[in-house]
Amino acid sequence: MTVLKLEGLTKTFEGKKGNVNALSDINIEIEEGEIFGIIGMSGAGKSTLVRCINLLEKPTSGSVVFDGKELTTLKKKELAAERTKISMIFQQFNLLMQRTALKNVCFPLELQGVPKKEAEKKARELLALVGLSDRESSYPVQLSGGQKQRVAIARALATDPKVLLCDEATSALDPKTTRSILELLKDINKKLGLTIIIITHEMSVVQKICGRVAVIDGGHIAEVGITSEIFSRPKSEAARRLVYPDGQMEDKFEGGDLLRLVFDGPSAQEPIVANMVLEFGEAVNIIFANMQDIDGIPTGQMVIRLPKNEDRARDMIRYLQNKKIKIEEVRE
Amino acid sequence: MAEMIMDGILETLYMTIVSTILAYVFGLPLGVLLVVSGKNGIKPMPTINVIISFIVNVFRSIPFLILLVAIIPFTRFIVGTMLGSTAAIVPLTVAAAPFVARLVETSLSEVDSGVVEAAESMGAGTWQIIRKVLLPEAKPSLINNATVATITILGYSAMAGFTGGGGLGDIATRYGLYKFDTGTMWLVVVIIVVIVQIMQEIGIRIAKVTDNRMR
Repeated sequence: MTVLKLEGLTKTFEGKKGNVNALSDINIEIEEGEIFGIIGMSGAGKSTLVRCINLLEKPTSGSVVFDGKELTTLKKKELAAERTKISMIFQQFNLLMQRTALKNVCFPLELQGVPKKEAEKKARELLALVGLSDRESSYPVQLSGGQKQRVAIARALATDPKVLLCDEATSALDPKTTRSILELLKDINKKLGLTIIIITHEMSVVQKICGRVAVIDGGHIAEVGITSEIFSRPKSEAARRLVYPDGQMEDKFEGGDLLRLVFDGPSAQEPIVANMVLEFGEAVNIIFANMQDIDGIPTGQMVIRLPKNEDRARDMIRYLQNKKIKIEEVRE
Repeated sequence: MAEMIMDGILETLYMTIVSTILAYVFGLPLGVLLVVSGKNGIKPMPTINVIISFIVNVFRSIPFLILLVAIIPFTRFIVGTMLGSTAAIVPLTVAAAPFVARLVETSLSEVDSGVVEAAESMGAGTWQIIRKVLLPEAKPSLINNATVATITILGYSAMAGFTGGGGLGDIATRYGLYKFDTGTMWLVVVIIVVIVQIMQEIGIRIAKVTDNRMR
């Protein structure tokens, strides 16, 4: 079932130096229970788009249909009621600095007039869900970035939303914390069946948790599709730029097929590519690599070109599969 | 002599504290309105914002001594007399309220706009944002600025002594200016300095204790 439908959405900012089209003709349908990514470079219009979803920004034209209701024509009170079902978390967490973690989670319930005891009970359950039961009386300043985002997630869940908007929610966090927050979001998505919309500029975030992704560029949707497909066969220029930053795929090498290796977990303790080259006595070209060291484990992706010899190439693929590396062929 | 100075201290404290409270009764809502109705406020109301801002500026531009004399008819109308500490409270409040409005505006403007946006995304109304976000989040800054306001009003109250308002300012003026008794004058000045120091210290401590960002 479609939970959110954006149709012909445009947003124009009127400026002194003329109008700026931040969004033009955005059409997206988001299904209930999916984790949907919206990815784009800085200034592509991601933040404006997410703010149009809950009408923090009023779209210039087009429609936002949430849960069967057209939001753009609602009165202020009705809109406020719908907003409680579309929660949001932010890059800078945006917690109330003068309230404890528990009181921050109570905040949206307080706004709805939920009795204090009931609100606190629920807030405690949610803090337990995000793994912060022991920090309920801490103030934001006493928490790390990851813990603050966990409080923000608990707060966002307090009103039993249908959709959770994550606006660059991991962009201020280090890779290790990012990973744990993404795990938490995945977990919540499974446990509560919550629809999650992830806005980010990082391909790795989308790759880790989004089933589908929309690539936004210059206020347009350049491409929408299943993440793994866009990842291996980016059709639009914008998607290519995100998958292969700095144009690292430009070079053409002589040789066989391209193969993408995804290092994602404890499988990569040994220098696999180097060992493979030694074992087969044949070189492979590393066309592109985007690796990070997280907890001493290399994480990321690498694109290599296999030897022209097809038997040798097949053997190498088998070798990598045995090492439990995720691989996929890349079409040129 | 000692009794006179003691009375002076009490009168000064009376004028300062009551005027400060009244200045906040009028200035706090004005300050909130200035922030809320501003261009980037939670409920932009350009016309109202411009009008309030203009009135506040006018009252802040008038030198206190002139205001003190100019509103004597108004003071008489409210209190029934223009003499004494109670009468001095009227011009002190009129002068301080616009000043307080600007201080409140500054404090509330410091609240992170992201936090306000978060509250809006949760469906908070204007009034809820004022009560549950702007004022509590700005509390330490509001308290610091209240200290500034109190001390400024204390300084004004010394001038109110000029028109028979009583208090330490009155004593200092009478003895120093008219009787050339510089000893008494300096004694009174030192007492005022001590009062200011104590107020400042109390203000800083309250702001610190209530600020949960300092833990």
